[in-house]
Amino acid sequence: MNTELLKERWRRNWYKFSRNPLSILGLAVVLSIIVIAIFAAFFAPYPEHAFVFVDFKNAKSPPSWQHLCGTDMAGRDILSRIFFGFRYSLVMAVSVLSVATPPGVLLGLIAGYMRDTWVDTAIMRVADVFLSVPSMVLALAVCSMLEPTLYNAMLAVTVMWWPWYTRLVYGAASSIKNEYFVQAAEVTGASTFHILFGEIFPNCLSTIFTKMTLDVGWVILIGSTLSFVGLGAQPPTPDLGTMVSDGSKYIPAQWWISLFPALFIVVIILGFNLLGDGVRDMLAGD
Amino acid sequence: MNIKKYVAYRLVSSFFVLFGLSLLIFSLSRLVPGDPARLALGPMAPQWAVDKLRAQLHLDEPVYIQYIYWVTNVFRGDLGQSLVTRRGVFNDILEFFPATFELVIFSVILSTSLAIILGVTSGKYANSLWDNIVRVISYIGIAIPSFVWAIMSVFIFGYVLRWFPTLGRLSSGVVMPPKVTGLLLIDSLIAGKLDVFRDAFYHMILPGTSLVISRLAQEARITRASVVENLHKDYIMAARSFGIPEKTITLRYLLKPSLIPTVAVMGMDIAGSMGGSFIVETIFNWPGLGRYGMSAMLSNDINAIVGVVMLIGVFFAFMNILVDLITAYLDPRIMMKLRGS
Amino acid sequence: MMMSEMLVDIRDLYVNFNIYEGVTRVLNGVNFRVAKGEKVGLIGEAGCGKTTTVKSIMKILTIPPAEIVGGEIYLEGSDVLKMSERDLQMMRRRTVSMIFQDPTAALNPVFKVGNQIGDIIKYNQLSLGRKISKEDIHEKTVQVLKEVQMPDPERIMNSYPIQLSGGMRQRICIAMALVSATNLLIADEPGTNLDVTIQDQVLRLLGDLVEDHGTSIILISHALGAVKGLVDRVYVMYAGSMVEAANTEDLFNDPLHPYTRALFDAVPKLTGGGIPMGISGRIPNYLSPPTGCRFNPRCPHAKPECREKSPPFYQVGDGHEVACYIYGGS
Repeated sequence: MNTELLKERWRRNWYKFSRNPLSILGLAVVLSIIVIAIFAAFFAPYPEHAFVFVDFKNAKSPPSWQHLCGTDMAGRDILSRIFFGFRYSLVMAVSVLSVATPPGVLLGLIAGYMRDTWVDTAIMRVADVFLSVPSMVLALAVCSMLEPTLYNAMLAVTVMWWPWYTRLVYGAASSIKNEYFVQAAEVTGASTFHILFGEIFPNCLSTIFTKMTLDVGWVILIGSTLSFVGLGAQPPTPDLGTMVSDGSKYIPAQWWISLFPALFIVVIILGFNLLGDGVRDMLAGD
Repeated sequence: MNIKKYVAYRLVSSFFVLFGLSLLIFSLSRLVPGDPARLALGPMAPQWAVDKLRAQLHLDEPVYIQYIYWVTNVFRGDLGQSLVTRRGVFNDILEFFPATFELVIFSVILSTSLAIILGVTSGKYANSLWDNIVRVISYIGIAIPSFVWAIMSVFIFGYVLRWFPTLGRLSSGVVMPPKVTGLLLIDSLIAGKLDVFRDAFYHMILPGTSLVISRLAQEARITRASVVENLHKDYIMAARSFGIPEKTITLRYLLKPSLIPTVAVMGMDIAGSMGGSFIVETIFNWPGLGRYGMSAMLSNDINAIVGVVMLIGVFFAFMNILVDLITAYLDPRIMMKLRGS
Repeated sequence: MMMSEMLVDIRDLYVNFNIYEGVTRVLNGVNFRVAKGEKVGLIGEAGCGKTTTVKSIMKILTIPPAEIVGGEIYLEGSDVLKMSERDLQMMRRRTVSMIFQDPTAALNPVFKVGNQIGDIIKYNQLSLGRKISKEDIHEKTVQVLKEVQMPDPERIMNSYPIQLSGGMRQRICIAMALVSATNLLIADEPGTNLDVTIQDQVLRLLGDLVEDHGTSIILISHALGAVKGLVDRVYVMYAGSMVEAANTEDLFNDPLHPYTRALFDAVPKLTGGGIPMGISGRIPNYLSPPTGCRFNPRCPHAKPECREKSPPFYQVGDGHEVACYIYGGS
């Protein structure tokens, strides 16, 4: 594809995206979070508080000009920890989606293309098994059986995430395979590999991409829930869910220890949701 | 194919899926590192006691043998013994299920009614001030995990405003009504104890809203989108052209097609809330299946874990079929597709 | 002509649509009349404003984005644009009913066809001050289904639109119009979405029904032949206003307006003569339409005055009107 066409396409996409002010807001929030996460050491007022640090003199002090979100029970600045905490949320989203999507999509392509054969049935039944209980239950079950670390939490979520992509791509692939251009490719003797990845897959791209952007918010939501329950990153890691859980013992007197991390969780998820909606609206016309 | 065949097909299909689920969860539970027997008895227990328990649970035999033991037991109604409560898992489930069922049903009915009202009014008056308010609130609502709402609502409504209680199903000192269904709201009404009803109702608000806050927002959005889409359909204009009153148009001609996606989502929300109950019940100390399941998972109570997950799987499968049937009943176009398959 | 003789009298109707890109001036001074018991055809290209005009008569345009910015629509002597909501409702139940272009879209997919017809009957009767029982509604429904030649009315009543064929759905729409108001029937391109043979059946049915009931009808079509057999008088519309009106025979034998002529010339003839050229140019952009007569960019006879002001209707012969400066002095 030549560059002029691409540029025009992106201009058109940007126009569609920017029509909704909420999408722009989402983009702004997400970009800020990414920047803060990467350069947390720079943005955090007290970067050394992020991990192992105690200062009991200052512990549990309410929000003030020195500590915008207050300090927690070990005297650490909550805002700084929140900024570092963004990293874990983002890492979880990126890892889960990059690991779960390829196999999910691949299986969906194969099952969709080989529709109504035993391959189709086998793949979709396996996917059905993973989707037969609410996602939270499976994630909790897998997570609780392994040692509670961030890595294992990501594993648990990945394990129950891939079938959604299989189902999505299955639906798309089975309808695309009946299109004329696919039949044309078959007739001219194209290999199955080419048909799957050269013909069908490119047409599913925007659906997959839309779902991925919308999923980021969900993965972060489930991830923070897992760490809240104690099954994800462990203290003293400044994971947002863990922070909410640690601080819950101090409600109502020292409400800020729980509430600020909780608020930022909502902000992150909201940002990604708005961005995801914008991407969906942008790609919808295509 | 007709309805009976379709239902039979789905039931058989679900059976296979549940079979697969049992394999999955069973193997996961048995392949976990660590010794469940040792965990159950504690570090102080003598080795022979641990070995005895291991033999009882067939833990030293190959996994597939263990599975066969388990399956045969299931068909006898025996889901094994909980390593934590020392009672039959089946009995535990029976005891804790009503509390969760009541919480889930209560919350979903509440959330769906609210979602429909919000969705229809904001859709019909799209782009008005009310619509914009509802949209902003639902955007935020979708982004709130249930534990966040739980913590925030406990703080705001439980402590600051002191409107609602924050723990359990009933306040301490309140006597439970005689057990008829296990659902406190119904049992207290049957027994005529309105104060107990009120107490139970208040106790359900915070955990209930935490359970469904995000789903409520999602349902409202879906309803609104559906209403907006149908509002400009030709059949609405046609109805108006024949002089059918606006009220009838809104409450019948617009509502029925618009609610079909909402009903489908509602059914799945009931099923999905079973998952959310793990978190919410633990936070609010609600004596239900979720709290039981959560503690089973955290203490590696393998029999209980398998039992609870299987039960939820069965419930989920049942709900799926029910939702599909109801949407087909409501929308003849879906029915035709179903018949065609 | 006295107002009271006319069933429908549209005078200088201007309608705009406010869309994202700007304001489209869709109707540009429409003048249109239907006498009692008259059968009038309305022809013109797709997008020239035919549907918008008739929707304005019933006031079922979606406002916004539509906006009626000028003119009057007299229906049985009263101005529709000034009617109260209640009177509009009465009008829709008693005087005018419409058969929509796409019967599949016009039927509510989740209600049985019998229910939908029944509701219309109920409200029509209510407007006449009568309450009607369920059994009578049932009977009337069966009756009207028979009138539109539906086989097995009982089964059809209990069916959903999806279970019926396109032709049947069109007939249901006709039935719905029949049980509603029968002073004026507006048929918006009936059968256009269907097979030609079915379309023919539908048009014949419509013709018979109109004869039987003595209803006035406005038949919209972009197919010239369809209109010819059915109506007494024809209006030709172009880009938002009427350009010519005449009795059917007069129009087809002796088209006067350059657009009408070009239209008829564009129809392929079985007698040979090669493939026609079509009309050069394109329909105007309603966001910035040409000034004056909107046909002037494409008209072979355009004069400077055509670009200044839209021509009014000039009388040429018996009941034949043309909006063109060729036929009237300035």
